[in-house]
Amino acid sequence: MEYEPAEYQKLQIRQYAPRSIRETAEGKYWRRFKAPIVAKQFGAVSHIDFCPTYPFNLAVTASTRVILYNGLAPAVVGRTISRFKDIAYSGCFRSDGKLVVAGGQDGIVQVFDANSRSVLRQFKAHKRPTRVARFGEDKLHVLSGSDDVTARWWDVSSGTQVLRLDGHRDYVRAAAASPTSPDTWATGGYDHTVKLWDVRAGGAPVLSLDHGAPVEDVAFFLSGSLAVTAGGNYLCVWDLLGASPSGGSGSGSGGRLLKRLDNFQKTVTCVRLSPLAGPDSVAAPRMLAGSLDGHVKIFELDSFRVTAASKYPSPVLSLGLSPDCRLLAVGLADGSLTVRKHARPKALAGAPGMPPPTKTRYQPRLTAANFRYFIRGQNSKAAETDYRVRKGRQAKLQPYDKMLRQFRYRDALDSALSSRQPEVVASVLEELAARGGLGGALGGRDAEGLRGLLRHLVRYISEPRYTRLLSNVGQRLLDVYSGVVGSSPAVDRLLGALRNRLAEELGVQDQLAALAGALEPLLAASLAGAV
Amino acid sequence: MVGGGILSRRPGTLSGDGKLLLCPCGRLVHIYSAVTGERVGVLAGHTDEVTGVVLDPENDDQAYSCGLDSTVRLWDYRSGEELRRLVVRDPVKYMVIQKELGVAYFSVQMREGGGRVMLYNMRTGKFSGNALKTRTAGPLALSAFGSLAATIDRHSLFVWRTGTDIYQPLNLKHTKPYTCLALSADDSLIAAGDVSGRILLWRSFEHCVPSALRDREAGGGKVHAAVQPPLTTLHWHAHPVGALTFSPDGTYLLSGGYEGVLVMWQVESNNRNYLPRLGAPLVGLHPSPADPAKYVVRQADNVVRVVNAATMKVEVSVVGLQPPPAALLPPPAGVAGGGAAVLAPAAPVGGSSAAAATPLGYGSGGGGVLVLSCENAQLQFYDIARDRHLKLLQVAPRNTVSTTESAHPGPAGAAAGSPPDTPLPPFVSYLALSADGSVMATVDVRPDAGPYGSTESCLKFWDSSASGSRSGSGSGSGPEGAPAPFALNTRVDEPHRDVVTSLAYHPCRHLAVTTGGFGAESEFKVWVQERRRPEAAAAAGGGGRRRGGGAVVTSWRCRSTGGYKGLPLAAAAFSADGSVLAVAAGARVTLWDAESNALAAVLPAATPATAAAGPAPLAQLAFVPGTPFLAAASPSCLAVYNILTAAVHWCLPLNAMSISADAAYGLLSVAVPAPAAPPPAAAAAPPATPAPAAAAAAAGDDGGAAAAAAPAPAAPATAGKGAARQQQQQQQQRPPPPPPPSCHVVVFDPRDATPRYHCHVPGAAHVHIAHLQAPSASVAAPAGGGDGCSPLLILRDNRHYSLAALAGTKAVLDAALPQGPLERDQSLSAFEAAFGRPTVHANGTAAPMDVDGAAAAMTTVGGRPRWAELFDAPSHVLPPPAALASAFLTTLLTTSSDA
Repeated sequence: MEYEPAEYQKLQIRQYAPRSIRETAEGKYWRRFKAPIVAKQFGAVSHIDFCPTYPFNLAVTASTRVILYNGLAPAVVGRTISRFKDIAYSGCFRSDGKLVVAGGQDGIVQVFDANSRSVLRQFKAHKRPTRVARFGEDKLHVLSGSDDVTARWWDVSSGTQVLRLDGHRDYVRAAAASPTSPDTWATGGYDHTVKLWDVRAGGAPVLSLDHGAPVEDVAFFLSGSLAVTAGGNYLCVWDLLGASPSGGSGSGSGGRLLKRLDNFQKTVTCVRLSPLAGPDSVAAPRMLAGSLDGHVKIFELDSFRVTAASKYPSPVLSLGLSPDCRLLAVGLADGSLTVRKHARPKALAGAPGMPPPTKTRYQPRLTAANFRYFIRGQNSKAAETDYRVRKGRQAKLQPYDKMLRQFRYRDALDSALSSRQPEVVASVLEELAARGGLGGALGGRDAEGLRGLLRHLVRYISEPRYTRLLSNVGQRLLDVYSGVVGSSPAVDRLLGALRNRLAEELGVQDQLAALAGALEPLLAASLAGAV
Repeated sequence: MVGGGILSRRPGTLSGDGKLLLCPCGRLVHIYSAVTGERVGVLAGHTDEVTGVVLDPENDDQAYSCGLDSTVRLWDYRSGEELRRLVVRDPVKYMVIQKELGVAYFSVQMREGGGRVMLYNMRTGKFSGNALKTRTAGPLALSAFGSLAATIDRHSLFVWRTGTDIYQPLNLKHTKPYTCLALSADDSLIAAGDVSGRILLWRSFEHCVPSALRDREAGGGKVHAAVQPPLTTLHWHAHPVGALTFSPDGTYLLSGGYEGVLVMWQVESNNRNYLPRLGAPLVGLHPSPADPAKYVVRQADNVVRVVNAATMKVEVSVVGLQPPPAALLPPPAGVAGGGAAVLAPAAPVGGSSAAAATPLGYGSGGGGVLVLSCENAQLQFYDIARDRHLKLLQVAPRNTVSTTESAHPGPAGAAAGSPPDTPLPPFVSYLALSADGSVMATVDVRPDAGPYGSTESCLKFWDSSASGSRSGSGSGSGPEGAPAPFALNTRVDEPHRDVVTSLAYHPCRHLAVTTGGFGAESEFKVWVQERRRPEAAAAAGGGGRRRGGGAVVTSWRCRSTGGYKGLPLAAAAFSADGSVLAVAAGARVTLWDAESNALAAVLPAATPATAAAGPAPLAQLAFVPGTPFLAAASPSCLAVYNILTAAVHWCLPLNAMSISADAAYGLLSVAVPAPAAPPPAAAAAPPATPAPAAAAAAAGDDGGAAAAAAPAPAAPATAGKGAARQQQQQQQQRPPPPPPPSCHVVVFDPRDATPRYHCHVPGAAHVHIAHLQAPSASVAAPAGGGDGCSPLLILRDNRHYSLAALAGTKAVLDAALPQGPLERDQSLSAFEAAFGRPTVHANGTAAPMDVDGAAAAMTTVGGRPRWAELFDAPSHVLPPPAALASAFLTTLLTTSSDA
């Protein structure tokens, strides 16, 4: 604050009150999934599955094919499995990533080699479209669910059906294996029920839960004792081990509804759980759910509150988060696949297939043969006992500060505009006004020089914090250049845009005034009633 | 006691050894140390303004001063003794001394108008018969070689050869008026600046200057130079050139002007080197006699700097009381609100609360720190007791920028004639300090910036950094490098919709009130300090600034707003105990409960509405502590309300510029302008008052005594005191064709409308008054009971201040103003850090100028010779041995003679 003579003082950038609520670490983390790669598919992206092993490839099922993308280069179209006669469903990796299983509209469940894409097995027993197919944890079995209201348990090595699971009375659309017990499966169907199966026990469900709406997706929590089901416009979290209050509709005990989450406007189509997602400071498992209303919401698992949400341009049919939380893939009904990349993926040290950490490079001993010998020690810190000679620090000036110091007002304004920070532009404009240099900075511009200024005006003139300043600047600008309007089509276009923007803003103001007028008697009446 | 004054208007000089700086200031010559910037002495004796100081070329330890009192005096400035006095008939404006011939040239302003350059032979003590007649007394220049002298007179530059007479000067004419001139040491160059910013440079012109001796054969007629010497024009300055000087070797030309940039021209190549952003227009440049690299730079903002031209660095700055910002000069241009109240020095802090020992962290003395708003949104902290600048605080950090090409302010430096589209620099319009001095609130305004521009104001709250919690970002450049006294806590942009019209701080709580707004949207806002734990602050993410780990974070927010019937609100004041908030709404006064925002009462307008317009809106409010009275001032009326009866107690048709309440004695002081009518005293007396006050006013008026307080019923008791102070006053213009504006300060007892005391302030169109509260007096004297008055600070618009006190209350004054030496923090110099601190003398430190027996005795007792302090610095900062030798010998001689 202290003023020192003969020293240039930097321009104080104006600070405005924070515009919104404070950004949480959680929101910041999910916003750091940046640079979306949008890949257009031939049909709606019905299923996305990440391979659990490095490099976390993803299988995307859309239309009549399953496309395998490399997890390291999701922008490149990977291998395409197109051995389907009709629409493919539910392309899924085996846990080692070597095989892929997929169902189909024709009811055939096929097992492919992930590398050569050749068909290894075909399970032909379902009579109706098979919407769901999953590998078991033992890598040797496949569970499939079909619209013929059955689920079947297949042996991959022999290619035969081991078990037929009967119990659903409508389409089976979801299936999930318990992470703790390889023989326990949950399937969900359009008969509003989720049934738990023990494939060792045979073809009768162990537990049946009533979701209340056609079940679209089901997922186990990492502990294996909780499960979440998606269907209708809500999610249900179930405690599978706790005692059911109603005694249970099926055989066995358990199945207590823990929580019902009504956070969506339309049908929830997919739900996933991630053990690592979230910022490092509050590392905890997260639940992700996507819905036909185009929202993907992230829940924390303590009180099931939404910690972050993002909107997509069309209904969300499927989503996936890579195990290292590097890629977030979302499949939409309009056939586009959006893959967002996080800058800081989680380190999965023990992940299978992970390459070993790179060794530190051999540092040769510094000799005078190397030029670094002569610049050694430049970064070493002074010891406590050393006497420090204070170096005259060169103030680092921003470009607009340099221009202001040289009284080049027009260039200062230009460099502030090119910084694309409206508060910088506002500060520079105010400083120019205080110096009496606004006329010089605004005048004498050609069409090219005017465009940046006009673009800024069009963009920010209706923001309340800049309106007063920018409307004054706009008035002066029109005064200066009213004589040459029409000589440059680009400038004229921007002036037209400015006029439209102002007309739009005035319309909004009119509506708001009308609304305030309508509200006033109501408020007065309510106040009178209260008194 | 008086202080302030303008240091930089008249040319000063460095002493022969370059260690002292002599600056004329009013009737005094102040002597500052050119090393530390501290004031070390004063030369008193002139009875009118001193216009210049020049060293005696024969003896470096003596200096001549000339003044408007028509005398030239020779001083031994080390002892402060007047050695000789020479009486000239007319006021002397400038003087130069030629060493070899022993003559001096005086530029004299004749009383009947016009100027003369007179030649005085110092050896014979006679004036020469001839004098050069000029229109106004212009500055003089003399080459160091001594064979040529020059002066300027509007469009003419006269150069003549020195001799026993001024004969046939060469006239170098120019189409534009000259402003300054300089002669190089070897007579080969002469430079002159004009109002358009050009510097005219004549080389090898010497042969064109006629001979000094009268050519008898030619018949004595005037010989005009046949050829004009060749002329070079240097043009860098966009505004009038303010000062010019050549370096002693003639290689460089230094110039300065309104831009505040010191420009160093290499004469041969015209290459320039700059020292920019000095902060104010340069009005004078003087080379140092001791060190060829050093120059004295005088600035229009009352700052004198010593600049090293070799490193282009400012070495020392001597800062006086800074001039008020141009936007605050009456009439307040473009700034709505109370014109009088915006001249906003805060009441001296710390006086009212005995607990606050060091309110601003300066020294041991608490009271007497004046906070002033100055140019470019700065605040100056000034110690009125010691008449000493403490610190500058930049409220809105920005660079000083002289206005662009459109502004051409006159030589006076005022921006009065500037076109409307040149904006005035921002300034602080209001400031208030909390009672304990720990929090300061300021309102700074950026005035209207041309068409479609708008005035913007900003409310800021500052925390005192006396606790040292904040490690200063900018190391101090003040006199002792102390950190800035306040650190910014909260900033509120646009606290009110249009303008802020007043600011008041609660006397015991951290709560402030601003009023402002425009038209029906006028409102007052109550701001409160919020205290939060740091973690809560981090979670909520407020605007509070963290002050140290684990400390409570404070921030300010608006608690409530209020208004009264859409009337414009122009002033606010808290009662002494803080329970009542008074807000002036139009001509009425509204009383509020500051805690609950409840409207307690409305006091009616003091004067009934006239037919044409309503009663004038109130501009100032002040509670009189200890009494149930509230004073309200408007441009046409001074009213005192009784809060108990909620009615007007009395009212006088006075135009009160400034009002102040005396907490110790329950009195009310009012400053009113003197009307222009011929008998000023009679007109000054309000209708309700009888003659005694008028008589006292007339008695105190003679000779320009600024502060002569006279009890109304008694005789003018302080006449003697006023006469004693009279010598220290700044003069008013001697022959006043229109009587200069003056002011009266009247002290009322609020219980009745009879004035108790009165004093007259001549030569000031506008004053601001504030009572100093001595802690002891506030305890001792019962409110309104005792017969007396607290000392009153009267600050004039030219930033000259005086303290008025009753006779016999010197003790009170001393109690209010600690006079002791300021405690300086004992920082280690680089020399001391390397070699240890030298042992202190047995009885403390001796003043450098103190050449008496005690100091001489100490040379043997303390074991440290007097001359040792000459070398008490690292070798690279010591002056050259040639300069040091004479001072060294002097100290040796003095010591031996004293011993």
